[in-house]
Amino acid sequence: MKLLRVSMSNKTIKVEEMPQDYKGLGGRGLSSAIISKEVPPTCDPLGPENKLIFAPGILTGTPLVNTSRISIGAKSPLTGGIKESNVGGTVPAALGRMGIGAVIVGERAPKGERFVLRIDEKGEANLIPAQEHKGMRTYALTERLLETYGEKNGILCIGPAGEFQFLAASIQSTDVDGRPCRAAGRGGLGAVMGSKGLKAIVVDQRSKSPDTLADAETFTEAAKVFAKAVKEQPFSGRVLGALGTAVLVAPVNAAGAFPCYNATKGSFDGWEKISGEKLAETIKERGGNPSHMGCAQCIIHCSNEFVDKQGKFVTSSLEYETIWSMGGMTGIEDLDTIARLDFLCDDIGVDTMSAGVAISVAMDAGYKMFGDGEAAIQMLEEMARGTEFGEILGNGPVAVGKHFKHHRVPVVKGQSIAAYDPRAIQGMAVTYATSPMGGDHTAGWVVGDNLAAFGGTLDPLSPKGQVEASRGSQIHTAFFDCTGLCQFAGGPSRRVPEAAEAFLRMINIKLGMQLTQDDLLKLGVRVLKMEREFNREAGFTNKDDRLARFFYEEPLPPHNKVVEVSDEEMDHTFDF
Amino acid sequence: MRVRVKLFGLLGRRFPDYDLEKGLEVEVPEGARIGELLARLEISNNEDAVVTVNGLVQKTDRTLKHRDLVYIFQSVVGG
Repeated sequence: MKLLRVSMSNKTIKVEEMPQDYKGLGGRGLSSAIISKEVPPTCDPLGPENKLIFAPGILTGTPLVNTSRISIGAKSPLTGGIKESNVGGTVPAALGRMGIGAVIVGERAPKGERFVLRIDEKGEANLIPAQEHKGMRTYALTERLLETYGEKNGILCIGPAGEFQFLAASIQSTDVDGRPCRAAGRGGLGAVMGSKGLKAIVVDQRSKSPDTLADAETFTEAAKVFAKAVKEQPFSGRVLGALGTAVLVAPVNAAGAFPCYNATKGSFDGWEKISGEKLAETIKERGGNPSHMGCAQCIIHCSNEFVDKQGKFVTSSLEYETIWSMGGMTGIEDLDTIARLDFLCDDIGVDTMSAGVAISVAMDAGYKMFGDGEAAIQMLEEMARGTEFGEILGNGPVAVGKHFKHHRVPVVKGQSIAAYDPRAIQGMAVTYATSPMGGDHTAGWVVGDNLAAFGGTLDPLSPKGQVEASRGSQIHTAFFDCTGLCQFAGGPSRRVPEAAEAFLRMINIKLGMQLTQDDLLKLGVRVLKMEREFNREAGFTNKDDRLARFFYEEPLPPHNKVVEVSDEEMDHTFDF
Repeated sequence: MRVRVKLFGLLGRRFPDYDLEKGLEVEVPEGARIGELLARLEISNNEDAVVTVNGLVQKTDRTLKHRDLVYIFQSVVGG
């Protein structure tokens, strides 16, 4: 495996063998290790000392299904801490097949200059001046780049929000159809890419792996066992493909855990109009595709292609979290408007979650009425134009809260929470509060442990057992995010013994190591410790491991609970 | 007596022409429990279905009343 070091100030690219320190790592583990070792924790996230890391997972680029995932990392301008944002598409598998362990983008181009990093099918990289792409939105940009470099390329890119260095800017990734609709949304990494003067990375997908697997036959057998288990699990094999992630709208609302109207209610009045079932039915009726393949090597097909009443493409993929942020939080109960907002976010290059929550904070503060879809569209357009108010919105919920002097800002470490209210699922309070990533549902998803609908055993309204559940989930996730396997394909690695064994075997073949299941969890602990240490050196203390005050003071209907996990309990989350 | 049932996840697809907005009208004996309704709909216990009646999560031994609105959610496993 090799590292590609890109100097944006010198316009040079160096290839080096994976250093000993980073061996055995991939994905989040590798990006966090590089940041820990090479980025000064107190640096300006948008300055030349920060580095932007693109690290495919350990298994990315192998024949295993659902492994086209990449961890993008840097010091986050949104949280001020270490960040890993995970995204799929086609670039991850292409980089993995080239034997590229990570692309490390350092320093920055002179102000105003823009470049495209092109990696051809042989893995050779070049920085190409791209002044003509200034300010371009991502759909037009990727269309242009695919015309220039050919359809067999995958792209990671930023839109105007990234160029403006808005703190909620995303990095967009093209799907199998070449559309920039998958997002590394969280943590404002698009702003870091913008600060470097990097507009896009264009990667040829026709690469072949130069790293042949030591025991390809055993690997292929194990990959088959694993794929079969993914297909046989009801959730990954049937439910996600039919209804997408939006299947969660119904049970989470039923549990009263769907934060809406800027987290003042736990069940959305119009949730049946924006449910996964309604979404799939609407798409199907109009001739769209409710079961779309978004990422390379995917067999789950949780993506969809939302079309308008005339059958014309609007967006892909409309996801649970976006339906929440742009629907539930803003009070908009119309799928067509939510789909439009989703498209605009992808096109402008801004996180749908942070943007939706920013809009909902503005609405809650009285700027516009909840449910005003046209106002939400206009707010996103202000971001695209870079107006003064657009900049405030583009900098996320905290900036909007400050602007309106509004107290109810649902964030942790500056990053908005996700579509599970921490008052109705107390375990999510622990994950949001203590994750080194800030408010992040993927860092330790304990919804399943809490909702009977998911076979849960904990009382979601009680703090009992929640710290332990979150700790276990965060450790597992920190390891899992190193592997490059999609979280939706992860079920069998825990629940099906022969799949778990096959998973471990494939990791060992790829790494040339003899790890045990226990070693994998140790890796998770190691990653979390590195990340916590970086944050501590950046100035974070346990006082930062808290949710926004209102979560402890304002009860959430219908259960009328506040967060009851005490500060002392929170502080025991990382007792290792 | 009759109750109105709405089905989520892939449960609705088990019934031809199931209408998402209207749901199903189901005839059950007076004083029937949720468990009997599930049996009538051929939703087995090991499917871990979650049931709400008039907006509140209920156990399967709860007695139903005429015109109750029953939502049945399918078990989904987090990934």
